[in-house]
Amino acid sequence: MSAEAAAKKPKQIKRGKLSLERKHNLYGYIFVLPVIIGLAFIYIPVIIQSFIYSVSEIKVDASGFHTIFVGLDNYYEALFVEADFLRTVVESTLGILVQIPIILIFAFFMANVLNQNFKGRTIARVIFFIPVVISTGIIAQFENMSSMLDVYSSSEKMDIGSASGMANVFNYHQLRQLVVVVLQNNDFANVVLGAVDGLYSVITSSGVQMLVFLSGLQSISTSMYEAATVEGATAWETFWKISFPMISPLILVNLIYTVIDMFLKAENPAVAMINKELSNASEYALASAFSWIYMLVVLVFVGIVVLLVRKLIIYQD
Amino acid sequence: MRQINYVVEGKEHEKRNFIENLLAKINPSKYADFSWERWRRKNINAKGVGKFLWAIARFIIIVGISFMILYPFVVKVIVSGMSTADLEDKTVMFIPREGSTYFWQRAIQNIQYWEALVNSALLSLITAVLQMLVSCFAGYGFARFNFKGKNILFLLIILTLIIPPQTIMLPLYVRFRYFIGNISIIDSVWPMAVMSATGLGLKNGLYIYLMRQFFRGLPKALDEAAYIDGAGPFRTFFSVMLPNAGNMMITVFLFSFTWQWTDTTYNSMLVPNMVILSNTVTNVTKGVSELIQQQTLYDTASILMIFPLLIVFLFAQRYFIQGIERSGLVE
Repeated sequence: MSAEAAAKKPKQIKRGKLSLERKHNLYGYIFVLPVIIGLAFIYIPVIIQSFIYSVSEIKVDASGFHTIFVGLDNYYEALFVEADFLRTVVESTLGILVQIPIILIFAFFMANVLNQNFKGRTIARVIFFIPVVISTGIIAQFENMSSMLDVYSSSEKMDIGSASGMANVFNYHQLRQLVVVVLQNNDFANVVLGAVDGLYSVITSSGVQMLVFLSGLQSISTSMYEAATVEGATAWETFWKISFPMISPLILVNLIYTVIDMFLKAENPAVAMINKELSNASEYALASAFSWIYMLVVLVFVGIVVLLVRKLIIYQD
Repeated sequence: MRQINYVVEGKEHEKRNFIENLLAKINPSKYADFSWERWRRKNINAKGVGKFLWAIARFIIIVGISFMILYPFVVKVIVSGMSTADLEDKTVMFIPREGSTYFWQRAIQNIQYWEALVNSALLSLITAVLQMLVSCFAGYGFARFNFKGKNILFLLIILTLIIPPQTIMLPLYVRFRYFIGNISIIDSVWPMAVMSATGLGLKNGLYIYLMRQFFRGLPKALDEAAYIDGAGPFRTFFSVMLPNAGNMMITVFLFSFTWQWTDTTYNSMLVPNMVILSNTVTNVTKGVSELIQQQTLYDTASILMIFPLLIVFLFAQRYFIQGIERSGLVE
């Protein structure tokens, strides 16, 4: 049959083949059609509107709000008058640089652990899903509220702790005191507690990445591992020759997601600043300018990250 | 140790020792031909010991981290089961002395829990399913077709992730307030449904990117085999690619369900008066002025919101299948 096909092929000449491929590629538009519609009719008009706000002055009066074109004034103000903004952005960016590799390595490691067979694996997976839930939206806001009260209660004397909002359950502050008592050494206890704090923040911000890696690992065909075992590959070789290349495209997604997540989460000081300005109607235009500057920073950062890591990613196509 | 020595002496064929007999009695089918000799040869070697040590390390890691994750959660559950007197009582540490369902009742009442639960579930389900399907389609389109403008389109999708949603809230609100002419679709399912169906939902860019990377990681031989068998692009997509993407689809579904469930940015702007958990939960402290009780109500509300999500996850993760066979691929 293949011989037949080979015999037929020369007749169609190059042009025929090209148009066939082009025809095939046109199907791509159908697959991404919903996204094209969304971008064209909703998203692009909306971001253009947002950009218009950033180069305008917004006036609210009885008949609604009006925009007056003021050119790059808002940008000038954001960059040079509000000196805090630029400094906040730079500081938070530097903080992010350190955390990204730690989060990714931790997520990758834990996904490999959770992918193994052991008793109670289902329970462990459910528990490791909790960070995904508590790090988002309204629940994260509640968490922040709790920890703020926590700080508040620990800054007061402990005996009025309960009056200041914390229940009398062993709270975090008491837990810290307990560690100091057990270790009988304040410096050592501080090192331990610092590590635990760091680990906790890594755990809560790596839930999503972990789940992505886990589902990637789960999708690798078992027959590949069997073949490798038959060929006499060690676990180490199997990992580097099968698991790693198979999920390497997902590493890039996770990397970019981590970057974006770290930049955009509400605890980020720069985002907090933008949000504060956004909630103030008269500063909306300035806040839009902030957002556009910040977006450019994130975009450049993501671009650099992609260029750096691109070579390491193995695609099948 | 003694038994092992005994085995080493070489009389094991005549007599089984005590433990071997015992094991054989407890579970004849599994241990009928159990022998220390064989067990030892299989397990007490470099590989076996390494495995054993790793199992211990793994146990410590998982239990340790689980403890860190669960501790605040457990504290919340305990506190929510206390009575107001327990909260004030300094001698009550972990186990409530009286215990009461006061905070649960209060929270359920204040946030209109059951009604909001059903509405939230429906809204999240609709958006999650739509987002999952659209992401699959778009991800495949980006992964395997080279059409004009693909790169710009993809860059725009990454841009939807990078622009903070609160930045575009006002123009987006206006867009849906005057959706067609003067017709407003605010406070209905439609804004969410439209955004999800067009790949603009919350963090939808991530799902599209995720699916694209996943499909790019699948061997190209998979599609080619289908094309050679005469299948068109859609047939190939539905019968060859999708069956392989099950785990990724479940992951996308879970993320989008969870994020819609807890989202405040879009929900508070586009469906501000709908009775859904993320809206009503801010009322949880209604009619309570004491700080300590407010805090407990927040904790109770968190549990009430998190718990259904964990059940959804528990069900969904059962469909995580290890290494499904690649249909139609023989290598």
